[in-house]
Amino acid sequence: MEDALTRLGFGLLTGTAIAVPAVAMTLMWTSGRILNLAIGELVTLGAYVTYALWGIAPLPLVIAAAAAVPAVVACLMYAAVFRFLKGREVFVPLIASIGMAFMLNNLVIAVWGTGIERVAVPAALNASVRFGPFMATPLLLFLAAGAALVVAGVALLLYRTDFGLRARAASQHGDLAEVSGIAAFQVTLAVWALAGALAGLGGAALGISASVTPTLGATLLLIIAAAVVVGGLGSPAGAVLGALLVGVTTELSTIWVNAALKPAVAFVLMAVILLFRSGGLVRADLEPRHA
Amino acid sequence: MLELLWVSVALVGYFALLAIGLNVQQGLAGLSNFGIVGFFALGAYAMAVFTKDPAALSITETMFAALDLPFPLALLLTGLVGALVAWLLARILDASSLDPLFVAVLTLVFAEVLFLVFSTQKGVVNGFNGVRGIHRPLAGQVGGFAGYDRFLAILLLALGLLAAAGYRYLAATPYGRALRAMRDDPDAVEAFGYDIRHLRTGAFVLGSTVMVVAGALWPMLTTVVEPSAFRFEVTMLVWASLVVGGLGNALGPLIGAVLLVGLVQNGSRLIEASELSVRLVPLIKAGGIGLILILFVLLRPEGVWRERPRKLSNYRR
Amino acid sequence: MNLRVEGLRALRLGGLAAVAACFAGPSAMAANASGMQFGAAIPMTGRIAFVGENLLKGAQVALAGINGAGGVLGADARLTVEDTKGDAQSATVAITTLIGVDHVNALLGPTSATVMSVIDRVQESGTPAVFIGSTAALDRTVKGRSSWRLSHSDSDFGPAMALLAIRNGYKTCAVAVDSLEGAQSLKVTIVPAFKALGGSISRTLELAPDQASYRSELLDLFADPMPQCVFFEMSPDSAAQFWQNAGEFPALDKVAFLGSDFAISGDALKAMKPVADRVKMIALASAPIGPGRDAFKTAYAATYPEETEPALYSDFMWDAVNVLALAAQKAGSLDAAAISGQVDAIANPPGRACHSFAECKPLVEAGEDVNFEGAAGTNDVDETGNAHTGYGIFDVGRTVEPAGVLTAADVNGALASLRD
Repeated sequence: MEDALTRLGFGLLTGTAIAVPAVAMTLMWTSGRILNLAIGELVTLGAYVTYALWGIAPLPLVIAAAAAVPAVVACLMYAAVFRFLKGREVFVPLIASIGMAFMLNNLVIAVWGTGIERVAVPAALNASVRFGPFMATPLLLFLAAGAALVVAGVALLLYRTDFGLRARAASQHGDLAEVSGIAAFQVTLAVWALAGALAGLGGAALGISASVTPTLGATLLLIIAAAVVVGGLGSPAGAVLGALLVGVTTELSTIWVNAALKPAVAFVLMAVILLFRSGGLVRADLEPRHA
Repeated sequence: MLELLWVSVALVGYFALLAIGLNVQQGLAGLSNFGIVGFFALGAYAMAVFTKDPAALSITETMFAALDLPFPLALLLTGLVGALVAWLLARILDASSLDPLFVAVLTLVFAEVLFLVFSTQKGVVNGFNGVRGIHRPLAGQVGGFAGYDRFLAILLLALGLLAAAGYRYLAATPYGRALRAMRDDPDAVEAFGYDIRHLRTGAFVLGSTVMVVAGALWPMLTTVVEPSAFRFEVTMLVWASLVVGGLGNALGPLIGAVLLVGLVQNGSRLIEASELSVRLVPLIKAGGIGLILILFVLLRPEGVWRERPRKLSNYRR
Repeated sequence: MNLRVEGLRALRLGGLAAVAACFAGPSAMAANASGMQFGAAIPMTGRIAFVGENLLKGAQVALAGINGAGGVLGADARLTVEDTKGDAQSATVAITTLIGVDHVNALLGPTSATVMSVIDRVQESGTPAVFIGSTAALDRTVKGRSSWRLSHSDSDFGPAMALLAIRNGYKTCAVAVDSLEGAQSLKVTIVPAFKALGGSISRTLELAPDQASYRSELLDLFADPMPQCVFFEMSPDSAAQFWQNAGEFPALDKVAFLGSDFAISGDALKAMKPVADRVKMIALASAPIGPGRDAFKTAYAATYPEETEPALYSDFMWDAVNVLALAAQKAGSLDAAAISGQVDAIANPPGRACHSFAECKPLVEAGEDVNFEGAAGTNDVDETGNAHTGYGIFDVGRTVEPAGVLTAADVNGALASLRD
């Protein structure tokens, strides 16, 4: 029992690490049903920006840059490509996003190489802490708290501000919003900037808590996608819930399943949830409504 | 020089067959299959199990079964196994949702799980290293790799053209027209008395079986069945070929495969003539495929080969 | 405006020239081909791009040494790289291009991930080739007439690891290896050998690469009965996540890790950095302690001064390039069969030991018999084309410190106990 609780704690830590990029993915989905698989590379980019500035610039500036650079790239993606793909069949933006992922990943390798980079963190932050059956380190707790703050901030922004109202209107009824004086393009662009920033921040946290490699984002992409689909596409709350559920399920599965098959667990969970609840766990409140 | 030509043509043939399978699913029925490589792998692995002679296994190779059947029978059985698996998957798809995104997600899951099992479980078909020495039909008559590559290239090209003709025929039948109509407006088709589930299942099984057959022929190129041939990138390249070549028309997959698999992948000499470093050239080539995809999707969504408007389907357009 | 037109014209001319070069390329190349041409089929993009990048470093260090010493048979040696992307389709194209279009004199690679898909093709062509990878599947498939593996095989290395554990007094150990190559090659060779030598395996973990967390796996690893040592092999990027998570476990201080070549590369040191002071890591690597390794490290540091230790696998590539170049030099010809005919003579005793092309070349030219001793082992190959070698033992922490050797005879002893 204690063993299972320990693993549950591990799962929650893994879940918080992928929750922020998962929210980013779901936000991009809301603007015209675009499942952006290049988000993995935005995560990688955030990690590399963190690594490049770490120790050179003060911490707040590093965090700001890790959010800003992917945010700009995400805006470019939307403005140059995805806005022209709205309303096309689902696979079209999917293919375009994979094309972008190819370009970004190879660009990252060309600039930074394929080696492993490490961000130096004070040793005290990596010391082990125990709470009953649960285990963590101060660094992980900081990062988890940071993730919770970011997610809460996004929720406030979407549901308690004028911008959030406009963003939701633009995603659900683009034309109607336009008619009622909402500049849909600018609002959607801002949503993409927000999503890009979230992906970058998620990457920064992953880079700080482990290592920075060109495959960082790509290897987590399918897990992030699984979290988003499990939680319900288009729902930020669902993305968080999905991330935690995927994290907990994969870690708990190691009690019964050969660890070599651990990656399959998240996929099977996703398939099962889709079978019984095709919209995911949480109903999408940002889902574009279709005629 | 000719060696490379035949190998390239053979690869174009495999990808053209896979893309034609996808064309039946996406082009006719609007089913976004992102687990193409799963069916490709299934064909190759089934073929290994059906044709491998257990006595010829080296002591480091393990397989759950090796049946040593003659090639034609093995090919037939592989096709049947593929169709059965595709049918089961179609049942699951039907049970969940008609949303094209979920078709994409579930087929992707199928391929990923299959790859994990094949690559990590040594007891299935020898895991990471795979099984060598898969029998190639007529190898005795045709000769070594140099001769066999040419034979295989011509065979696959013929099969590709045959499959393209088959697609053209299918698209013109009432069934094909019903599929296209369903893709565009399911409700209208249902009103005409068609069972949408039957239509979808049929197209999915047919397309997947073409992919499985392409996989069954894969060991003829390498004589080996091992997991590195079945990475997600294969699925990607098939989609890219179809998007570039032109979705929903008979020759699109062939043209796309020639352009992407034949020229972009293998026509590397163009860039290497310049003085860029050996490290950057592969990165530019790989990134270049990404750029080509984006440009096509944006600027020429119909592919290089435009689908001709059909008189019979103008109830929609 | 004018500038733009000029630019466009230049672009078009450049394009035409490139197209012309494309068609004229092979024949023109064949016409002025004088020096030895190496072809490397290695993964430069995709998931395992780091393998190719590291191997390329080793090849470039070796080529710089060769051409600095006047090249092979009096002309500069050249290198063509084709990207295998780590998949069979691209590897098939890469090999066919290198053999059929470039007509390279010798092949380097491919690596474990794709070698099985092209091995028959390479051997049929007769082009001299050195494969790179420790997978036991190559034990019976490298034939030694035109293809070799100069580095160790896991079927040798596994028993050596088991022996190392026993010599350090470890009786209860766990195995933690990556679920692909390591689990299917290393695991099956360590476990029986360790049992035969009187040890017991507490747990075997197959770690899926690139996971967001290895915490649950670590929980299993450190569960009762607590192992005294862990046989460990993971690629550096997965290991980075593993070590980071391992640092969260107090039990980490009580276990010794026994690693492989993977543990002594620059990237592996970076991966281990956060826990370097806590982990006791003993690496058994085919890298010998001695002049062969030193010659390589000196050459490597000259080309890549900013790196603390040579990149993973770069030593394998250095050995491969040097042996093939020396074989051509000794043969006095770039003919495939002639080069192949001299590989055993260069790699094996008898002969005077030498450690780089520059050092060996004058000896070869003087007609002396040489025995190239490399950066990743003594490169002594048997009739199957596989190398059998002693191993260096290293203490790995913030740095890599030599800590002894395990000779080929020691390993043979362990193998003998396995057969009993």
